[in-house]
Amino acid sequence: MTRVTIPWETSDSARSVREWELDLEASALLLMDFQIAYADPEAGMGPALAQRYPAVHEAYYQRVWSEVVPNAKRLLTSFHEQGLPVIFTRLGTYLTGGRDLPAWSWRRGAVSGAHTSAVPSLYPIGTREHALITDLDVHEADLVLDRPTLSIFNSTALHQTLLNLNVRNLVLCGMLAEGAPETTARAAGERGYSVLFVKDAVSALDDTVYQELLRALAWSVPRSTDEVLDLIRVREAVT
Amino acid sequence: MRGTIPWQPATSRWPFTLETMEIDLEHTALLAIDLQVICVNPKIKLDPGVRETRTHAINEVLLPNVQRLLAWFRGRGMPVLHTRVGYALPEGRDMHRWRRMVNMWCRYGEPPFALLDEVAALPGEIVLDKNSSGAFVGSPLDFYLHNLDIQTLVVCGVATQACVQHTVRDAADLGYNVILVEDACYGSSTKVADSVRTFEVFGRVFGAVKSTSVALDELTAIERGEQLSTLPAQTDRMLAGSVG
Repeated sequence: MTRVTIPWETSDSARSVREWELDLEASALLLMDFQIAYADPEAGMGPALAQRYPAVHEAYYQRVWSEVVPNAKRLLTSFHEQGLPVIFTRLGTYLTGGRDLPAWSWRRGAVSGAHTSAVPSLYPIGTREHALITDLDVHEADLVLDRPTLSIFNSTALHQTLLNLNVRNLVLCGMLAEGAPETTARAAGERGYSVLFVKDAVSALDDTVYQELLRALAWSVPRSTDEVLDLIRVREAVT
Repeated sequence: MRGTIPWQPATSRWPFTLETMEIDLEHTALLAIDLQVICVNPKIKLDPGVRETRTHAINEVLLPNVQRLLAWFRGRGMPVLHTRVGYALPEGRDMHRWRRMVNMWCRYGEPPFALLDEVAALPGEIVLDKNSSGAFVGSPLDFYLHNLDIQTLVVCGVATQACVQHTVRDAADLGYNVILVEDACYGSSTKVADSVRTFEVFGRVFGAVKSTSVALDELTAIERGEQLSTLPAQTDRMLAGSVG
């Protein structure tokens, strides 16, 4: 067992938790939605962004490929080398037309094309957009979880799986910050996990809004890839 | 009685914009989050001025608006649900390990745990207790909403950036159509920016954000079978800086 402590909140008088103790053996890497729909500039939301908001398109995909994916790769390599659990998630529906979502729900509308001005945010399993980008190596021992909700806890059995794996800490990276990553970080924190939100391995459409997200996170802490890798190296040095 | 309400304007810079949200009043409930005595007099230390501002905002804005929502739903016999936040066991042993270290809550049944008299539950209204921020994590809210055949939630309560945000994020993520009533929520006198951010992010990604007056006008219009075709002027601050 390799235990370390990291600082948490210090500025907020309402909170008395000054530091977290992490058992590094109980850590898993969660790679959320590194899919073509959200990472390929020419697929998924890419073409609509390019047409309607070219500057957003350029900045978003530039950062995805120069920073977010390379950092996710570094984390993935480290977790693979250490033999720590790796979980990939994919966002999308099992059925075409979002039939696995309630008929009356806004979520169904977001899939079915009922709203013509919207870019679909969910693609069905089996489509090219739904597939993971090939830059991140999925090993045979990695878990790949599919779900139609932003929070991984709302429509998969991840919580039960993590209990069985004895995982208490989640190193979280992924696509479209205020959607799946933030919702999942909050949901994981609420279930007692220590979440390291890897700020330079999460993509975001707007940097100003993203900085606010990092400041306002609850039950999780923002950390850089380097800081997380340093923590993991502590474990390597001990074991 | 079904109808649509305006949600996100077509001019939104968010690529996943949905212009309208469908509401079926037969399947709509009001959810009032954590309007407890402890929210007026929190355990945390507050400067007297801050406490006064807080009490004023709660008494003069929050509670009157929640009362308007309660009256609208109760007057039509529509479901009203309440949540209360706290813990069940001594020293909060039933809370998760980090929450246990934050001394902000009280035990179920203690006087500050009670709902405020002004907005207390009536007999026949469901009251769910939770030891978490989000009501879908620490209470069987989803179970009851499913049994009540609820599709749309009108949500008010405290604290905006915490229990309200966690609950409405999960509600929308689970598929519920959510109207978050901005001036029937209260956040924190020291974390105003977090409340602002909560409404902005929620409004663009997850559900509709409305004032009490607009929400009730729109629900009343649906009840009367009127069409709501005009979108309110609304700007999306997000992405504004990065669009060429």
